[in-house]
Order: sequence, then C-alpha cells, then structure tokens
Amino acid sequence: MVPLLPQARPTALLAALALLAGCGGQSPPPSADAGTGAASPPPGSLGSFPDEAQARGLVFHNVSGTSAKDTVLEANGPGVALFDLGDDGDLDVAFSQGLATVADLAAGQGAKLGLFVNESGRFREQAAPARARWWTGLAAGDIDGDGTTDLVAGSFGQLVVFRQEAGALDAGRVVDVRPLESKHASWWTSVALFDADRDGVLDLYGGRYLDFDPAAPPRGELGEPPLTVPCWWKGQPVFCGPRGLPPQPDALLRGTSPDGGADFVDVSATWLPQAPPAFTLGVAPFDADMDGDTDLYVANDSVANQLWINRLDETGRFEELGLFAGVALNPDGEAEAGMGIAIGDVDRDGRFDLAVTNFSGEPTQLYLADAIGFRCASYTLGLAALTRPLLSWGAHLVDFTGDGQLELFTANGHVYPQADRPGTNTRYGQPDSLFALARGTGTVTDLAAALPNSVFAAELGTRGSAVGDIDGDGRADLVLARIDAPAALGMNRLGAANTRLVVRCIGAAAPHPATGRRTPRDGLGTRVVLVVGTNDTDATFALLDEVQTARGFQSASSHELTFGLGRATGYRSLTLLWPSGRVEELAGGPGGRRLTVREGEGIVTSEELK
Amino acid sequence: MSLAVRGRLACALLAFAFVFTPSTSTQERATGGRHEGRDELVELYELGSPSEFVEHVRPLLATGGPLAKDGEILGLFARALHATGARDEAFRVLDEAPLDAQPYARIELARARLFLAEDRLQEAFERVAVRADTTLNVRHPRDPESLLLLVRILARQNRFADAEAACATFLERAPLHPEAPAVWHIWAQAAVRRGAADLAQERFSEAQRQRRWQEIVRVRRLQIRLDPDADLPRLGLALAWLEVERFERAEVLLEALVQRSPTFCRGWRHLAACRRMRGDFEGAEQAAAQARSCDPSDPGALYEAILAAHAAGHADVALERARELAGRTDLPVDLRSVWLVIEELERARGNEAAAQAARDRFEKE
Repeated sequence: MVPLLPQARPTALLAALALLAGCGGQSPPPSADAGTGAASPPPGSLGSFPDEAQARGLVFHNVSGTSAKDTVLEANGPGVALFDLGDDGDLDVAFSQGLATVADLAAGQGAKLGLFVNESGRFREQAAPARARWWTGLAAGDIDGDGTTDLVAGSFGQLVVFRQEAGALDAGRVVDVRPLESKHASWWTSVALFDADRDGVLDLYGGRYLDFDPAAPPRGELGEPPLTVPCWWKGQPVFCGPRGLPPQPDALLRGTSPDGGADFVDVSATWLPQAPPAFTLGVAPFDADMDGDTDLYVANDSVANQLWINRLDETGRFEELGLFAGVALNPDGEAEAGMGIAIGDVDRDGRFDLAVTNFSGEPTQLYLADAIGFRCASYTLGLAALTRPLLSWGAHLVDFTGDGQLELFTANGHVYPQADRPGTNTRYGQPDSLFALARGTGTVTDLAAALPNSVFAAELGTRGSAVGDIDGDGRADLVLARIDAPAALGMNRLGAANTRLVVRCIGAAAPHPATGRRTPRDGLGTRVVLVVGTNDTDATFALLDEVQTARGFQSASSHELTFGLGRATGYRSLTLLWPSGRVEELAGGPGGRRLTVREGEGIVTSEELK
Repeated sequence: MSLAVRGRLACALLAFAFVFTPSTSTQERATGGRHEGRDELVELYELGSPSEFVEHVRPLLATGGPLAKDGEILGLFARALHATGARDEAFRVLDEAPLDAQPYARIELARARLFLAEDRLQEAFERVAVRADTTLNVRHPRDPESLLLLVRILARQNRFADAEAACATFLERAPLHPEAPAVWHIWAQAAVRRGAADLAQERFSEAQRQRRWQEIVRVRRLQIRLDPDADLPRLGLALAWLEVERFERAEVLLEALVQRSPTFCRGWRHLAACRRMRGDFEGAEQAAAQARSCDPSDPGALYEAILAAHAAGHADVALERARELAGRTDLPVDLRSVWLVIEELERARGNEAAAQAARDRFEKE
C-alpha cells in the first residue's frame, strides 16, 4: 500500500545505520545535544556570518520588473548556481537575470546571465553567453560526462543547456520540449539535473508555472464579467495569480548521450503519465524511500505538492504518492503555496527528511521520515509559529555550525509590496532565517537573531540561494539571489571550534559489472554515511547525506558534501552507496580534510581544509 | 465605512443570510436581538479580510449593543486581531469578554484557536478537551467547533489515531462546515497510518470533493461582493447548495434572486427544480409557469414544468407537455430523457405500446 516503508539496506550500511538514532518506528524529536559531544553555542558565541559580496567582488544586481509588482512574473525573482567553471576546484557563480519591465519581454528583449569566476576567494565578472532571456531557474551537473559541470537555465520561454568547454560556457542550445497545449510560452521555474534511470547520464526535470501573456498580463481581476474574481489579498488589490490562471505541466527529459553532445528527450508522457499541471516552483531530487534510486519532491504554488517515487525498474514510470506519504498538503489537508525545498536527515535516523517553504500565513513545513511516509514536525517543534509571518523561497538543511546537527536556512521576502500596509502581519522586505531545529529543548530557535550584523540582517527579498564552500575552509557558505537588489555572499564563520569534513564523489567511468548501472560522473545520487568519532571518548554518531545540486528555489548548490563532526577530531568510517549499486566502505580518518572519493578507488585526494 | 460599501453590504446581506454557518439553523439566524449586519461581518472574516473585519467591528463593540455580548463575533474579532499582528490585544479581548457573552464556548474556543496559531498545542488542547482515563472528552460538546479544534490539535501532534472518533462525530454533525475538508483529510491520514489504504483513498477523495465545493462557494461569494447586481454568481451560489441537496438554503437564495431580478428566467427554472426536489410540488409548478412565461422559447423551462406537473400528480398535463417538448426539432441532448418521462407516464396509463415506443425512441436518440 504505502511504499515508503524502509527498504532492505545493503549489509555494509547496516552497521553504520545502527548508530543512527531511532532507526525505524517513531523517531525521537531531533536534539542537537544528543551524542554530538558538542555543547551548543549560546547565542552571541556562535561566530559570524558576514555578507562579503561587495568585498569579494561578487557584485550583481537583480532586475525583476518594476517595484510596483503589477504582474506575477515580476515577483518570482532570480535563482543562483554554484558550479566549478574551469575545473580549478573552486566554486564559481551564475545568476539568472530578468528585465526592467514586462513590456520589454513582450517586445522580445532579454537579459544575459550573470557569471562570476572565483579567483582565490575573490570574484571577477566574466562575459556570459550572449543568449538573452528573462532567466529563472538554474541547474548544475555534468550532463555530457566530460568531468566538468554544465549549466541548464530555465527562462520565460525556453530551457537552455550551456555546456562547459575549455573552461567557459558555450553559446547554449535550446532543449526540445513538447509544446504546451495552451500554445503559451513555457514559464520554467526550478529545474533539476539528476539520474532517474541510473544509466550514468543526467536527466532533467523542468518545473513550469502558469500561462502568462506578457503582452496582455492579467490585472485587477480574473474571468469574464459577471463571473469575475478580484485579485485581492487581505482586502487589498494585488497582482493576479497563480489562482485563476492556468497552471502549466512540468516536463521530465531523459539524458540520452553519455559520450558528449548531450541531448534530452521528453519522456514526460511515459515517466510521468497523467501528471497534473500544478504551478511548480520547487524541485528536489532525493532518495525518499531509501531504495537506491532517485525520487522527486515537487513544491507547487497553492495546489498539492507531489512526491514522485521512482518505479522505473518496476513499472517504467514514477508514481505520485505525496498524499499518502503526508507531504502533499499540510496537516489540515490544505494546499499551501510551496516555494522551495530542503532535504536532509534532521533527526539522524538514516532517512531523509524535507522542509518546504510557503507563503506568509503558512508555515515552513518540516516533514520527518516516519515508519510510514512522513510526519509533520513544524507545530510540535514551534517552527510554524516562527515562520508563519514569513514568505519563504530557497531553503537548505545544512550543518552550518558544524556541530553534527542540521540547521534550516530559509530565504525570505514577500511578493506583494502591499505587505507593508497595516494589518497584514507581514512585511515586504524580510530578513532571511537560520533555524536551529532543536538544541536540547525540543524547540526551534532562530540563530539569525543572534547574528545582528550578518547576511541575515538585511530586510530585502531573497529568492534563490545556493550552498557551497566558497573559501575552502570546509564550512558551507551561502550565495543569495535577491530580487531587485544586490546579491549577497554569506561567509560562514560559525562554530569555529567544530571539526569539518568535505566529501566530493566522482562516479566510475564504466558501469558496475554486477548491475550494469552507472553512477553519473559528478556523483549525483550517491548517498554517503559518515560515522563520526575516533576514540572511546568521542561521542559517536552517524550522518547521512546525498550528492544532489538541485535544492532550494530555482538554484543549484555545490555537489560537495559538507559534514560537521562537532568536537570529534575524525571519523570512524565513510560508506558510499553509489547509484550504480556499488557499496564502498572506507576506513576512518581525520577531520579537517577535503576528500575526493572516486567510485571503486576509494579516496584519491585528501587535502587539508584552509 | 463608505456609503458604497454599505450599499454593497446591504445587498449582499440578502443573499448570505444563511450561508457558511452550517451548524446554525435558519431559524437561529433569524431570531432577534442580533446586530443587523452581523452575518455580513462574519462573511467579511470568512472571505479573508481580517483587517477590514477589525476596522468594522471595533467601533461596533465600543458602542456596546448585541455584538458586545456575541460570543462568536468576539471570538472572530480576537482571531482577526491575532491575524493582523495585534496578538496581545487579541488575548485581551477574550480575557475581558463579558461572562454573559453567548455562546461563551466560542470565547474559549477562540482562545484555543489563538494557542493553535502559536503552536501552543498543549494549551490549546486543554481549552478544548479533557482526558478521562482512556477517552478524550470535549469541553463544549454541543459546539462542533470544539470537535474541529480537537481534531486539528491532535493532527498537529501526529496523534491521528486519537483523532478518528472526533473526525467521525464532527463530520456527522457539521458535514458542510467550511473546515470539513480538513477533517476528511485528517481522517484519511489516520487511515493511512493504520494501513487502511482503500478507506484512506475514499476519505482523501471526499476531502477533495468537499474542498472543490467549498472553493466554488467561496468564489461565488467573492463574485457577489465584487458585483452585487449580477445574477449569475447568485445563481451559481444557489446551485452549489442544490448540489449538496441543501434545498432550503438554495430556495432562499433563488427566491431572493427572482424577487430582485424577475426577468432572470433561469432563476425561476432552478427555483422550480429546487421546490420540486424538496417536495413543494405546487410551488414548483408555479415557479415553472413563471419560467415558461419568462422565456417561452426555453426548452429547459418546459422540461421543468413537465417534471413539476408529474411530481404534483398532474399526469395528463405532464404528458401533454412532454409530447410537446419531445416533438421539438431542436430538443437539446440533455433533455432527451423526456422520452423516459413519456415512457413512465404512458405505462402508468396502461399504454404499454406507447411506453415501449418512447423507450425505443430514447435509445435510438
């Protein structure tokens, strides 16, 4: 019936999983103090998280229509991608860009992507490909298997693949997608690269939003008189949508060329049959049922979210189980305005949990994997009350503090300038949030409040967000794409006393001989279990993560995994579950390193963190 | 409040008198001692304008009068304040509510709502229910709102098994409550968690069906607010009530519609259908006659007149009209069932051959 019960796990993993708290059955509430050996830092001693965008040359100003926000197209804003351009081992940045007015779009104008190259921690703007659009979502992955990261950019109108050649992006090629029945232009939102069929070639999920005519955008009310519906929010006239406008269906495209010249074929009709159009805003691939293949969680605006369980091996398609898994609607059975998605093992029970951000008045929901499906923890942890006034977009479950517990970052900012009027109980400009999900108290605390001069202080409107180690110190930094505002670069200086470990996974060049399956070159879909602790005095705990870049909203994070070891100086074992089916268990080692693991070869490089 | 707004509120009040309070009967709504625009205010809240609600209710409460002792209004006022960010004032309104406010349970339940909105689940629970050994008893058993809140609290605590009994009781007592879809959903989740997949699917489907219906009602009410002079949204709202077989509610709306727009012929036709379905066959015939008089070319009006006459026992009249309709060359597809009416009437008269001929004609067409 409900197929999200834990599946049989590889033997080598069982020992590691035994260390994870609360395996199977009811999991205890997450507690950061449980077994990390790291006392949670009291507010004020966390460290800092300054915005160093300006100082490091990451100077990008988003343009997204007019400040009045008369149409829905102007409200969604930009995405951001962190990827290695030039294969020099550091993270470079791409931003999506919009136009000054919707009329400009109707007139055929477009903007170029923003592209910034990381040169020893300082950024230099590089000429972006000439192709100009109103860009939206960005995805990063090695689509042609040449060992370098490519970029897929969504826009109002087209999906474009930019392959990396000789350290630069090429001119871009439009992906051939089946046209919409409505004949409208596709409005792409979040896009995700992942390997659905485990052939080692990345496939592409493209989320689409709604039918929108830039030449005649809806204003004031929807429908023909007298059956019109006013575009109101809390009694105030606002832009129209998404309700009342036709949603567009998403697309799933199969990557078909493992040896260069990457191409995609639209397989939506076979892999996602009868998928309803659903105002998609967020897409996150992850292994929801822990069976080794990659499933998809899709956040939809004002209609039910979807959990697509990968049954390509069994039935040749994905099966939608969000309702039964308890992640389609909120606990009251109401659809919320799903925006961005974060994935991580919050309660360290060996299964992935998820967070989905929503509109103001609706909390960010935290769903913890349960014996059957997921259970909502937002209300019992107090997350709902803290996030209800916020309208949130990008989200990440990452151990920013390095204590072995995941924090939840949310990018915040309202879509309606009218939010600043009295009585709305929210604001247009909002600071971003960093929540400790539990610090021994069983409740959520807002760490951002203890970081007054940080990147979290600005009350603007963040949309896309990406996580990655910009300066090589092993801590997850944040790049924030803000609507109508300069981008931010949050440099993570939290938890200085804690040990970190960075793991980069590289798939084998050939298929696994026993399964015939192949891991993508950039390791997407690889699950990693790290057992922390080196001696009997260290607390021992296990951490689970998965190599994926599509996280948050319209954005791509680094494919490196950053682990926090707390006060432990090293780890006891490192187990990799490659998408090919190979399970590789590696001996323990010291923390404070950046490891590169090549499938079947173990650790091939180990560098000290800066 | 501007005069224009007042005018719109007054017009809308006509149609909304009985809408959206399924637990409150028509008679209860009509009893005296209540503020004239009370239901309109409730609608203002329900349609998602808490700040407008606060703006309108605050001066009314300040002047005393029936609203100041209206437990439901005070509760909604507190919830609206809370929703607009005035948290402390919201709790103060409830703390200072007069003890003779009626029903006082709504004060207590509003407090539970505020706790729920702040994730203070245990405090909300204590306002709503008491645990006695292995059972949960609601504090205000006469008020379905009490059960609804208990269900919501338990769902947020992931105590779905505990919520099942309250779900069943609530849905029995308030099947068309605006929040009934949520309860269906929670009931379905409870089924999921005990492995009853088919039952869960049934409940999910019902939740979805109800939510769609509630959304139709909400949109129609918004449309009426936007254009109080338009007939179509009012007809749509009445049809929504007909769909769920709440004939009395539908009839009130349809009667108001034809009174304000006697030339809106579809209103008469649907009024005839509504009266027929609730057993008022004479009234149905009168309304159908009005519909035919209003638009003699409307085959739908003639069809309704046939059904009304048939239901009223006027078989000869019904058969004559049915033959007239069946003989039309422009008989709409959805009215071909008139041949089945003829079959039934002919068979009742002992004309088996004519009945069979009508059946054959229906199947042929």
